[in-house]
Amino acid sequence: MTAIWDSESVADLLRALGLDGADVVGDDLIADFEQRSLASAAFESALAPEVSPCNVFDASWE
Amino acid sequence: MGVTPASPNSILAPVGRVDQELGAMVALDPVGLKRQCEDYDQDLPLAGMRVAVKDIIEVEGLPNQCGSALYGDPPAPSKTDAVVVSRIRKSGGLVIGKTAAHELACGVYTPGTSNPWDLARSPGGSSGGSGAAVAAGLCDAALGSDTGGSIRIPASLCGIAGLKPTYGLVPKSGVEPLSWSLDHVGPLGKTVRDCARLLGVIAGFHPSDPTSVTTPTVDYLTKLDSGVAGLRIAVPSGFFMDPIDPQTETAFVAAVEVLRELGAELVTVDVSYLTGSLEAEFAIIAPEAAAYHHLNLRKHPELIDPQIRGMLIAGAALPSSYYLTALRWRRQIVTRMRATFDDNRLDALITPTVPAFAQLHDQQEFVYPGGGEPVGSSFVRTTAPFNLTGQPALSVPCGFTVDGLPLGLQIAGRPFAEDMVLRIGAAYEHATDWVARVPPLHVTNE
Repeated sequence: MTAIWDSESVADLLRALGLDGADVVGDDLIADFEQRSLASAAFESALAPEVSPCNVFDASWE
Repeated sequence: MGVTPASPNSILAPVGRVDQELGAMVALDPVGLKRQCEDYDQDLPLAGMRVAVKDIIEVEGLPNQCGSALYGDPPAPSKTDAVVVSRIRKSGGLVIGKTAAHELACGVYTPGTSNPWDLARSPGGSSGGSGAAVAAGLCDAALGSDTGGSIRIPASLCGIAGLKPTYGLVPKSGVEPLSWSLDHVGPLGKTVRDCARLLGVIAGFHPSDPTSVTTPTVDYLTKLDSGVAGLRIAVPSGFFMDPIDPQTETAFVAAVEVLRELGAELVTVDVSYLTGSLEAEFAIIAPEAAAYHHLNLRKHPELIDPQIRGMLIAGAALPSSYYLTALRWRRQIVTRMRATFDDNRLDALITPTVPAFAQLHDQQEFVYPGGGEPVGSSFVRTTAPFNLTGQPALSVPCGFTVDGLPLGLQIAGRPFAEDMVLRIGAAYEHATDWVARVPPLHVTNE
């Protein structure tokens, strides 16, 4: 699997969002971005198109 | 009205003595306690019950620190009680003070607090102070919050009962949020009955919380001693057991047999659809927490633990489509969990609460047969599925390791069937003697 994130792309994104002062862009942060992106891609590929987001405030199963 | 059998000093003095070693309490409340003792009414449902409150829940006159430097040092005292605290006081419960929480209720260590079964180990988190306080007898019960397991994890690690109620059953007004759609408030108690008593008081609609539901509450004590004969209880194959510590697995298998001997009908079910629960949980917590803490992240990032800060940055920066995709995954899990319960006519589903036991304070990983797993991921893997589905889930003690560390059994039920999970927990508790054990560090009557 090709890496989606590297230090430059993460740093660019944080700068654009005004979050560049929040943390140093290190290996852990990049790995976390990568892991989250891969998880989302795996969900996307496994979900049927008709599955919509759940109603997060309704746990009733009704 | 009457006179409480105990004075504030007689309640708080032993707490202070034991807590010097334990570190479970961040504040005691002699002023509030004195007022409550003066108003004592023995006919109220919680009369005389000593209750401690997790330090993310507002208690009038006490600071709400949330285990974080973000809120000041010390924060200003809360001006009012959270709804749940107010309900406890009105029901005769004696609020003794506040318990330590892992920073921002986001972690499973609760640094500064020890496990009363082994002071070299963590009580779990994020409601670690509540778990340690109940286990060591500083109080009879406590309030915790649970976004990915933060009530059930310390309950399991500290050898007590802890219930995450159905989402929306207990109002969260006055409780610092971590993740709006996953946060729950609930009780921890020495026994299942303690949890049932406390739940009976804190549950129920309140208009100040938009996620609070109008579903009627029931008397959680009525069916508590009805046993499990004839109930259909699921034992999942895979997922919860892969990987797992062998001692935990042995204790879980033994617990299943206890329930079978009590007359429950055990059914094996496939829950492989829960794969991805952990990733979905993290994909939902991060943007919700980042939205809540966005100003803190921009203005005071240095005051946030680096790991939590990384999560907040990811939540703030990654595409919103990741969040929505996780919510679609969550819907799929909910749909399939409902089908598991309906198709098998289940009353409950049982699992090990967590795959292991209390970690050392600085331990980062569990090593299982077949490989290692980070401590936090390992715990949340088995508890978070029920935050995603919103179902009630109870942890009760189900044994000890050879080193004397508690193990937990998790009982999940249908939405708003707290009476059922408490009933099963009580039946198991009565059939075993785990609850009678007392940790080496505990309050005595000396």
